[in-house]
Amino acid sequence: MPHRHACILAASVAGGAGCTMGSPASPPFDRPWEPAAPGPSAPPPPAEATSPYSYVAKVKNVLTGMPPTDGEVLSVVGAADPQAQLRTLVQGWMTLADPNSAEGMTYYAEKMLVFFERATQQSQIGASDFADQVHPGKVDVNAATVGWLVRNATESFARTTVHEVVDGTQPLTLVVTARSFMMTTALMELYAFLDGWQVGDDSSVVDAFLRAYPDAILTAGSEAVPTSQSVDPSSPNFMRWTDSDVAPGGPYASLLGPSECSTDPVTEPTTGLRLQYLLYGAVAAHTLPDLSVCPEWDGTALGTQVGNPSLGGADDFQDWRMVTVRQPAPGEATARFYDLASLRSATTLVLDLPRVGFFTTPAFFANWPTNPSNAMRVTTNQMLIGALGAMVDGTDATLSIVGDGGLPPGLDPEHAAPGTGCYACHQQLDPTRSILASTYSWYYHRQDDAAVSAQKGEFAFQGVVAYPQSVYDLAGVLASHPLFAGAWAQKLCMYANSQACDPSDPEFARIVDDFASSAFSWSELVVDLFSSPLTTGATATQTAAHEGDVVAVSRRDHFCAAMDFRLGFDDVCARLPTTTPVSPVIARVAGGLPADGYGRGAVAPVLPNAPTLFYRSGTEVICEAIAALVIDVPSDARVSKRTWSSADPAAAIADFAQIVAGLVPSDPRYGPVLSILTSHYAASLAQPGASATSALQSTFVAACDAPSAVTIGQ
Amino acid sequence: MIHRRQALLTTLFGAGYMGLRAIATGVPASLLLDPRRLLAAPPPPNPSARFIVFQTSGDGDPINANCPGTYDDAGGSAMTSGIAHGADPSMARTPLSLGGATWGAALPWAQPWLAVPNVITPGVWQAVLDRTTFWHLATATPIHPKEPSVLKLMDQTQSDDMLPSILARYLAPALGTIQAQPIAIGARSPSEALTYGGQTQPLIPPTAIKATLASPAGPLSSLQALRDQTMNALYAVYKTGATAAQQASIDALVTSQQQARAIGQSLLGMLDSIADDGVASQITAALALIQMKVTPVVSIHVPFGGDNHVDPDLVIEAQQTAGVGPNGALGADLTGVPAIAALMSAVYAAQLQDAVAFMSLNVFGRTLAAATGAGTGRQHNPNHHVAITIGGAFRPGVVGGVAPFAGAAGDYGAVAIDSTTGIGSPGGDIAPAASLASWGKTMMAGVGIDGATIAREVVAGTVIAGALSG
Repeated sequence: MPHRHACILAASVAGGAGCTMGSPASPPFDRPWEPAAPGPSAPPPPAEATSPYSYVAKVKNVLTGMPPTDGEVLSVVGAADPQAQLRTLVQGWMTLADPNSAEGMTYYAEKMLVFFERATQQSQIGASDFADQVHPGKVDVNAATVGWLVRNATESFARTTVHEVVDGTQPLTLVVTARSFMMTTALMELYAFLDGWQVGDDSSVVDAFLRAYPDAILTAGSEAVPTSQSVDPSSPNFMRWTDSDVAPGGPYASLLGPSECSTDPVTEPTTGLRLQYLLYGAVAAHTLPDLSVCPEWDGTALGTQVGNPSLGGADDFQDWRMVTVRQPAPGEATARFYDLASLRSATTLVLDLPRVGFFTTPAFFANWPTNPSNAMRVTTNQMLIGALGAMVDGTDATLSIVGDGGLPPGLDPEHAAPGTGCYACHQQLDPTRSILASTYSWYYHRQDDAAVSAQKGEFAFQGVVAYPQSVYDLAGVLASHPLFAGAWAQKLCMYANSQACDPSDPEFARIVDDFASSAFSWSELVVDLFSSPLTTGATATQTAAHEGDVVAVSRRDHFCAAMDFRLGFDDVCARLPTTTPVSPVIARVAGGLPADGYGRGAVAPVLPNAPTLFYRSGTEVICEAIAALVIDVPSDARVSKRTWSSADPAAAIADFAQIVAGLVPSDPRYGPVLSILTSHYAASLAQPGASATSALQSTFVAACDAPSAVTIGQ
Repeated sequence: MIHRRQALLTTLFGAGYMGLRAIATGVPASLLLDPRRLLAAPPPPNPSARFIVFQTSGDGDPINANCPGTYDDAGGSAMTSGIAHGADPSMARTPLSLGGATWGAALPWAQPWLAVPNVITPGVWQAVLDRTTFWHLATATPIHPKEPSVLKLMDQTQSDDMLPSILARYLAPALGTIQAQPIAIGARSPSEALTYGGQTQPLIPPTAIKATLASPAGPLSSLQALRDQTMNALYAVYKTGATAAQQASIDALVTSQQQARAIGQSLLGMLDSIADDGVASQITAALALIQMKVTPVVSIHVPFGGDNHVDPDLVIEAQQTAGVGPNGALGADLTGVPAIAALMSAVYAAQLQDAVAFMSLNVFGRTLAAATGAGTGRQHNPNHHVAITIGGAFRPGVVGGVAPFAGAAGDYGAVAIDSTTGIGSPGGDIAPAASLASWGKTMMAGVGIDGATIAREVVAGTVIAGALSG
């Protein structure tokens, strides 16, 4: 009777309160969990089968961030085939709409958005990481817009995957073969700018805009100029832009004070980079005819062209849509990055530079800068990790075909001469990276070195040898690689279980086979893996036998998503760079919570699983701050959809147990937990100086720090 | 400022329910009455135990190009064209004294205060130098992602743990720290995360440490002790009938709560000055965590130029070694030798010089010959890296050395080390390939870990007895 013992403990804390105090109808505490009777062919349950009260909550939490309902758990508890019933539940959970999502997304899609940002290595970047691609400038210096632009770049590919694969019907191989991407107008502008700002291997810049319009004068002033004229080369107002920041008495003039620089309008020598700055409200540093230097002006929200509501750009950072990126037909012009009006209505972007899959996005390139020495090797290795879950490590027996000079094609003998310790890796990495090196410069622009461009190399990796002639061919090689299915099943396993599945586990092999034979249906994989004993622990698996079960802390992405979705916050942890924190304390502390991450040359994600004193303290601080935001909050000060009143503590505490701690009423733990929380409320209220509000807030914190709230799998 | 945990301590030890909590946690009630007693069980006597500030970077570094021991190549041999130092005047050979012996090094090593005024006084710096040792090693890898492997002494640790974690595990009982796990506060990417017992430890930047530990007391602070009792009761409910994995997780939560409550309150004010996650803040946070006895080992990240292949003139290398970033301002841009000086200045100011040791180990050094180390952008050097230690356990000076390396045409590598003297010589009994593991063993010996344990934990290499003081 294990739970009777718990009842006694609860009563002690409550100062004698009974177990049933405040508890709704709940099963007897001494009712042990009884797994469904196994069928004739079912294996015997393992000695430590996980209760459906735990694993149903785990699956729904990881998948959607939400707690289960009593009916959902009971449907599994009472099912003849619990796994099949869980499959049905998972399929339903994948369609649960988030009523707080401005874009009408499902909880599942929102979780997958973060998953795919990590899995395709589009996150962990800031504006400075784009330095190579915009060399020698910066991608955006305006504090009012740069966070949005980086967020757009970070989210673009994950949104593509969610739109096409998670919510759509495309196979997961699209992660490497996609040629259409979810983009905003701002992101289209960035892609188009990068296309015309050509930085070669030697860091020399060819400015397509300057070449096209060498005599243009770049002017920013307070005078109202229709943007249709600003971008029309035949208009006398070509390259004259409206920028309210430079008006007399405006912030630009205030920054400079009386100065030759603070004129209205400001005129600058024309370059593509200066125009890029101007589109985001900045005025690049420039030299006047008298040789005095005007400093850089970073701009404000009022001065930007991109994302400025008054200039028709209210949705420039949020007008997500699928955009097909293609190379120009003979004689066809490429996209003009400064023609924002055209970009706002476009669904096709004509660019010289090929873009395909996750591994050629500006965000991926920002993550993995290369250089003349590295020569695209890190890019290639990270591409292999992202696509195939494997890296060049010197142990792969796949041999390149020896080419001219008796060396693998593309091998850099100066960097890794045969016979050196480096050769084992370089004999594969160098030929395989060649197709990227022949396509992109070390600054991720068009490769214009004819010798390098001509060396297409050879893809030789883990049993596959191929000769891609373009990055599109390379994408096809990756999509058809035998490692693809297992790699993505493994990524999902690590996401669900905070540890890898044993690749030799028959259950894992079944799931991988099913995934491959489903034409790489992501939904099928999710349903299969999330209902599998690999995730639930409902029955024995080889993975559990070999690796043990992991009950991990709820890392930042999971914890913050649960708080957002369950309580109706919009990014309470301020994980997005564009979020204005509702609580600076939460934002700062959340920055130190254990977080999923990926590292250079690391096949497995970094997953801190164990609680530390910082995690314990951090979640407590966050829970306290959240408590202040959801309890006894005046209606005009609410920042969450769900709030509670200390006027009805019983209802609130029941919600805490179910919504925050995630326990359903039929869970044997529910009654004792409710009793303990209720007792805590009563005891808190009795403390000197305590109020009903603080007592209920403290009760919320206890629920928020309960094991089922701060770990995955309790 | 009243910190939230000060409020806790005013009530925690007066609270009741010890029997209940003992049942809930499995910890004897007598210990629960004083959590610090639990954490401060009589340590095995180890007068050599030290807290460690462990500097590490997966970027690689050019320390091996400007520190003592790398300015004595007289134009190179027939194989090389001499060790390439940056053209910046600060990279010119400057004499300095290490324990009474004169060596040549770049100017910042001799006078770090020139670029960063007042970072340390000359007198304290000389005291620091007289405890500083430069270890010429080979990490045997030119690959950035091998940073975790290097911290595992290129996978020569028996437990597959990283050296900082092994040190932490053995130092925690002797130092009476709240937790044994090391804390990574300077890691710039997940690649620089530390593992302990196979578990990845979170990256906790200084601002998060401050926000987590030193938040102002709120209205719920007075209810924290009561809430702890509630949490213990909740833990008991969850633990009953749980699987072994679930029980272990709850045990870890119980432990983490106890550890959180054991943090000293009077020192939290040290965190007040932290405003960012730069090197200066890392130093502040590291010393605060040490003085609060939170952990035996704190890792930080001090830039020394890193891996900058597009720095053919070694300008960035010179800037960061001298200790200033592009802005030339002390603070978030603190780098290189002055960063170490700032750390040691703070250590001496707190009179912790006999309690805190500094160790530095990065993934690799840079190539040194002019043909490979400069002019074309520096390259990764698997054959030569310089680790640094500061602490009384090690003889000041230079251990090992550098010479033209037969295996890498035209460049330099570490030479063999004589374990009895620490001197680098071709006839030394520690081959370059074993130098990293030997350094790890010597670090363990320096902080008082016994020989049998060292031999068990690190399966290769030899303690460099000649480098140990006393």
